[in-house]
Amino acid sequence: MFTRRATLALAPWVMIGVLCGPARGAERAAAEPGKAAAAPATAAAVEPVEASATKRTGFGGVDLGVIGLYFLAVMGVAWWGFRKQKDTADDYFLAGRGLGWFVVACSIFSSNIGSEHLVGLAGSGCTDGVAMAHYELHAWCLLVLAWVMVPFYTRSMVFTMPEFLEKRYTPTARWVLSVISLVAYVLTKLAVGIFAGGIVFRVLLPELTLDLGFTELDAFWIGSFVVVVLTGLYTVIGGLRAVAYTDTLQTVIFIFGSALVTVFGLIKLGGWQVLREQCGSDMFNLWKPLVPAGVEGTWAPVLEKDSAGEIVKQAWYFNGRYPWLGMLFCAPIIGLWYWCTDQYIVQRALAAPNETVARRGSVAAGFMKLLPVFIFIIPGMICFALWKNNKLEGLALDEATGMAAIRRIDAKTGDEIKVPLDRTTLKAMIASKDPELKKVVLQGNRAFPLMVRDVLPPGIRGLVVAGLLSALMSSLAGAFNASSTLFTMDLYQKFRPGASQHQLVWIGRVATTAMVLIALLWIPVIHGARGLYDYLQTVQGYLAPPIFVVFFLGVFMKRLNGKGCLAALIVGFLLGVFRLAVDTPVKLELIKQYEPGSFLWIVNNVYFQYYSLFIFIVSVIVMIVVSYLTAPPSMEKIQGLTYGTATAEQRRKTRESWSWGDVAASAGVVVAIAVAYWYFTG
Amino acid sequence: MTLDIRTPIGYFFTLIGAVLIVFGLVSDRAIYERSLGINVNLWWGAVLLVFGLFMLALARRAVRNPGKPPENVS
Repeated sequence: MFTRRATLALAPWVMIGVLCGPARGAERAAAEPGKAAAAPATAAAVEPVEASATKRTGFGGVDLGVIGLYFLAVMGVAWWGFRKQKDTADDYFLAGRGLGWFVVACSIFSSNIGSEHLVGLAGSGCTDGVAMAHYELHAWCLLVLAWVMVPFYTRSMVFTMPEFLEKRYTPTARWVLSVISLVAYVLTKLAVGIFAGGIVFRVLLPELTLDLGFTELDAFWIGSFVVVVLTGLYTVIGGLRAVAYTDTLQTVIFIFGSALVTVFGLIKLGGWQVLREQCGSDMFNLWKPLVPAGVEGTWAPVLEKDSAGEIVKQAWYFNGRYPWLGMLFCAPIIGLWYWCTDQYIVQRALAAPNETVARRGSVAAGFMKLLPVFIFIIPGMICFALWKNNKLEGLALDEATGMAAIRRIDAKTGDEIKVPLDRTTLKAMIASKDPELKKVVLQGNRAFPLMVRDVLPPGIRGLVVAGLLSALMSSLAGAFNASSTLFTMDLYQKFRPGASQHQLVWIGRVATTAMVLIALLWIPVIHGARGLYDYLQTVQGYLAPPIFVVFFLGVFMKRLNGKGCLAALIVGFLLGVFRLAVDTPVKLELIKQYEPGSFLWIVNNVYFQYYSLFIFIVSVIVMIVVSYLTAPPSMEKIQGLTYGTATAEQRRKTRESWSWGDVAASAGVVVAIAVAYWYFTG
Repeated sequence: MTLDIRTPIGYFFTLIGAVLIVFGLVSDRAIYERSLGINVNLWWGAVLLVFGLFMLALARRAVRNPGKPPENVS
């Protein structure tokens, strides 16, 4: 579409040459589990047609200089990490268990911040207001990691989360969880990194192309490739130490870069009060009703639409517009799995030398996790308000992109109708009850790049772009490192128990390289099938509940045994896979929908947060019943791994590991979350 | 021998801050139209410079007092 020849032979940062206008199409990323399904993908029935103009703003030499310095600094720190390395698995996978609390905190935070924040979270702020903040307020899950799980993890001295299951239950549990986690990482987390790199380049540099003679690569390809290879390079060589230290540098750069967008956005808009007025009460409300206003709620499985395609009657458990019940009580199941039992996050806490440091790092990460509300969601809302005030161009379809009309499928006849757009129609559509329509018209996913483009001058913009790249690279590095740790320590070492430390490190490097190669192979798939990407993000949401159950119940109830654990994992996974199998034909548009009223139709329509609660309850029952019907575990074997089997000495050590300062800091996180829930009530 | 992460953070921000301050002083005022006439390169550059120097000072103090290793050093 908008092409200009460019040379790839230059250093990677030189490729970020021009900060340009909008991305093509409505880009949406939702990598953090739960978010994917919470923010439904762009409605298939509403698609933009015709696009033309774009706006360009030069990306100056000083911007490139700042980005170049960023890459030099990251590589320098990674090189240091490599030079300090010893040839042991402990050192390669867990940085010699010597990370300080600040490094642990930054590493947890930056692993989490990825494409779903840069693109999707700001986008949801723009279209839905603060609704997605529920997921950011899951910062309290990090307190659960700090205060509940860390003592057990530290005592067991494990490398991986599946290894903890082996110690607590049986070797089979470890094997099952390792394989499931590895497959899920390849399907979801690696895909995220690729998508993120691609999006940033496509948004910043839509005109960048590379002619290989037989084919032409666009900005998405080039961006994905550069981010994957560079990140892979330092992860393979430096292991977790390089990853954690670069994460720390990247977190600081990222915070200093992104904060400016909020500050200047607010000044440009005229202040917080103007934001409240322009966005209205609904966008400032975290407490969304079980059934949207104007829709009749039922207990019976019903979904009725009027002639305009808008829902008029709906079973409350079908509503996915962030209902408070689901967001407050069901979302934490996935949240606790992600923050407390997923290798990707917890590996950083395992790399701390002791309980004190691991806990303090987790609590500090809890504070950091509150930041995305201010550096992504609020800027998204500011973007919307600026557009409403006519202070920002290019947010809605027809203006900057020249979209002349949008296409809709008439709900009654199934015919395609074209709706011509002018500003009045646009505003009316944005006020519409149909959230999907609003999303497409608004192109909320452009919000963050638009703010960067229109609010910040050259110079400082380079710092913001370096911050964006930081977030992407650190998440990808985390995925590479976690996958290689799982493969080496859980699978390879199991088949080769006598492997030397040198061999383990070597296999770790090979596994990381393999992950990098798989990531590269993923690029064409993700590039070609956008719907597939969105869909894959839901995978983790359905696999999470049983994992959460076996970890948490495992430390609270000493009576639970390996058989109960396996039964819960298998039943839970089967329920998750069943839902995935039911959703697949609809998500990939192989069929339009199931017969209304049929069992499969109901399963397909139940809001995924409620379905995960269902998996959770079934897993809990299965685990307890099977455990009590079979022999209890040997108390000696699980000593120190549950509350009931911790020795007096272990309890004393745990008590000595925290101070009242840690408690006060944790209380600070809780108060901040409570204030957010109290303030954002409309 | 361990790396105090404050050292590279300090150097990076000191350098970036200095670059932005210089750019803010020599750049054309017209580019600040979009940022409401505020020379954001100059001001934010100054903030980064101060932060960078502060980090370097902390790291240097830790080197001078090796007896009590700060907690955020690996």
